[in-house]
Amino acid sequence: MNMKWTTRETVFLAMIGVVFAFLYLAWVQLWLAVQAVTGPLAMDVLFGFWFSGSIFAAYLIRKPFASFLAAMLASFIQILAGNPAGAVLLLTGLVQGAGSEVPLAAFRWRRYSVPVLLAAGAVAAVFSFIYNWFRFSYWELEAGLLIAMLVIRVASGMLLGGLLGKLLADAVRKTGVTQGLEIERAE
Amino acid sequence: MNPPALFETYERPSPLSGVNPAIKLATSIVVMLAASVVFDLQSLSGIFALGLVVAVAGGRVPLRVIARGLVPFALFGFGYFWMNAVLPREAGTVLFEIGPLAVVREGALNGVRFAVRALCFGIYSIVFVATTDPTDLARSINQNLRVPARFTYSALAAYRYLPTLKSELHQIRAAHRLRGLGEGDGVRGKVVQIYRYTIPLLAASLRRAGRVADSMETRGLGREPRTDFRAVRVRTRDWLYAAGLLAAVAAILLAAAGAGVLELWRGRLWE
Repeated sequence: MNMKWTTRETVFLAMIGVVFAFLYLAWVQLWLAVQAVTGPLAMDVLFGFWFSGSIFAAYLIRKPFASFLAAMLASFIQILAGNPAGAVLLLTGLVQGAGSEVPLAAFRWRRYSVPVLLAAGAVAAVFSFIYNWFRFSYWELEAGLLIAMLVIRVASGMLLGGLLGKLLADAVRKTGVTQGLEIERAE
Repeated sequence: MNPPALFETYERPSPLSGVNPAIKLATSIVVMLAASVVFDLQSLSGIFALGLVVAVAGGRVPLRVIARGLVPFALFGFGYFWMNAVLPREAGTVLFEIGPLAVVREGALNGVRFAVRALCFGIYSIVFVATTDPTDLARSINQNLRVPARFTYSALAAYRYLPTLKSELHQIRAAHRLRGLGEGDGVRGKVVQIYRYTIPLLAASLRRAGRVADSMETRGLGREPRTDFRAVRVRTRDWLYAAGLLAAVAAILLAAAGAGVLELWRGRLWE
């Protein structure tokens, strides 16, 4: 497989970043609504969706750093568009993008099976948990709650991030718009 | 799901529109980072007021455009205010009650700070977005920061698509209504709604991405070596802008520290 990016791939990557920035912002609204009703665990339940764009991009484009760059781009666009977290989001994108990239890199960007994508979502969740540990001083929380948060977030990363990212990509593939991408050559 | 109002470049020459885009962007980001680590009302208001002055005096951005640009940030800010006022992390003095909801003083104060913080991010986004030609930004990132042209022009193409994304969403929504699909209420309704819009939105966007890529390729983009029609330089006045703005923010923080009100974002990044 050729590891160099083509123009088609960079344009797709940019477009995926833009659309997912949009979706992530909608998800922030949903999270705020759910949290008002159910409390802090809502964040961990919903968290995985914020990785789905990275996994969507990696699964379709299949080039080194597609996942990482999609996360960075989406966080940059959210800052300009009005995510209340502000510029710190660049750091968030960096951490989560790096997390989802690790399992993909471990397979030298050659394997995009369901277990690998689930692993990408899980590692992104673990990375974000460590980052949030410092950002939101998790050490003040009870150990039992922390374990529950971590387990829920990893599950969310696998399902809403890894699996949903793949399912969305497969649904979009059926419309035939992904011609010329690596995924169409792979199968 | 309401699409945020964004990326409406206001085209009018101003002192700020002449500043090197990469440096202007980096400066805005550094100020936003500063705003995200302080958490007292005085410093945050000062940083916000400074941004307002820079946007109006330096960027000649009309107040109407600023107000409209701040709407999404204000909405988020209000959400934060409300959440903190009614559901504070710690118990406190009850200010007043609305039905079953008690508005807590400490929470309300925190909420105000979150709201002003959100406005800070908003105004420095406007300072950058409303005074920058996206094409100049792409050129500057390519020439000054040495990011490959293929990436910067792809990003530019996607960025140009944003306003269309909004109308695309309206179209999908209208098409769904026409077929009798209503918009649900509550959390469940919101999830169903996001799902129902996502796939057509992604498909339409990626279809466009394919066409854009074809047209970029037929025009020879991505061939090396490439030459630039317009050179974007970094000049002394660009550094002066960055140094001036950062010095002003530093002055605000020092003044707050001197008055004994400076507070860092408690227990979030440090402590």
